[in-house]
Amino acid sequence: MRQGRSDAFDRFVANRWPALLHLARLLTGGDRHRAEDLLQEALVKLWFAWPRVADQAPEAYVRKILARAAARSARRRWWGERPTDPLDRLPDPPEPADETAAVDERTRLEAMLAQLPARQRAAVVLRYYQDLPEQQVAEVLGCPVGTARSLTARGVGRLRRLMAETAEPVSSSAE
Amino acid sequence: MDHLDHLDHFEQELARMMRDSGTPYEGYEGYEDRHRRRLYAGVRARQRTRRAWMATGSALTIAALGAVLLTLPNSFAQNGPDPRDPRPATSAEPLPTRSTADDAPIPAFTSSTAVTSSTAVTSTTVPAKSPRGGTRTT
Repeated sequence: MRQGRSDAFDRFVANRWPALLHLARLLTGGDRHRAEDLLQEALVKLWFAWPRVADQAPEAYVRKILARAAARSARRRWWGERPTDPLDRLPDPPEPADETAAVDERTRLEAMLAQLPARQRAAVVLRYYQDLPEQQVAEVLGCPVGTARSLTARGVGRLRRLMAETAEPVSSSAE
Repeated sequence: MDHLDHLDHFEQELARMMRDSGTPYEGYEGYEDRHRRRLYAGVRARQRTRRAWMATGSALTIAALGAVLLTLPNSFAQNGPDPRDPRPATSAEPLPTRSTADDAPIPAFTSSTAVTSSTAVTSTTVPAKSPRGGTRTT
């Protein structure tokens, strides 16, 4: 039985590892090592909850753990996060023909996400990357819907300003 | 995706960038053996922690139960009935002897009393000796 649990768990982790790691990476503002740590912690918790959640929604369970842990990090300061100079460290916008444009864009996105407070970042990632409606964002973060809405709006507003200040080609069209 | 349809251009671009940034790239690492080893090391460490917590909890529970069992008899002894208290209204002594009517059954424990009583009555019917030597019946 334990072997069966281990096999099913391993299959799930192997299949969903890239997506979960990417989510963790966005939630940590591009901190790859911290993203791996966060995902490991979440998967360890999933192992113990596996008999309960295996047949339901294990990915949603991991997502909730990841998002809450990432949002808590602002209070716990265990990532050693420090606000950086808002714009000085942002990489240059990618050249359209540059073959590394995708990598640059990802780096720039992560750098901008890193400028956000952890809870705002978590709300933005859940809303725009995970496509969750506001109610679900609130449920995952364990806060009222109004708070989730406010966190998302403030996070997007800040990202919008950051984008505009770096003369990003992606511009806000409907303010 | 319906709830993202009303997004403005910036928000749509933001969502696209987040999705596109997840595509595998050079140097990308999938789920490898080192991840798996680390994951199960974490599972074992957490199992040890849980066992330690459970053992601690059990020991504390047993200690608390022992303390309760030790203190309870003492508190009962202190709060027990006072020997000078009045005795209960009900008595363990035999009920008063019923009259020995012919139609009523006589309980076993009263039969001797009845016999004794009748003996006493009989004794009263024994002819008493007259001071003058004769007998007189009552």
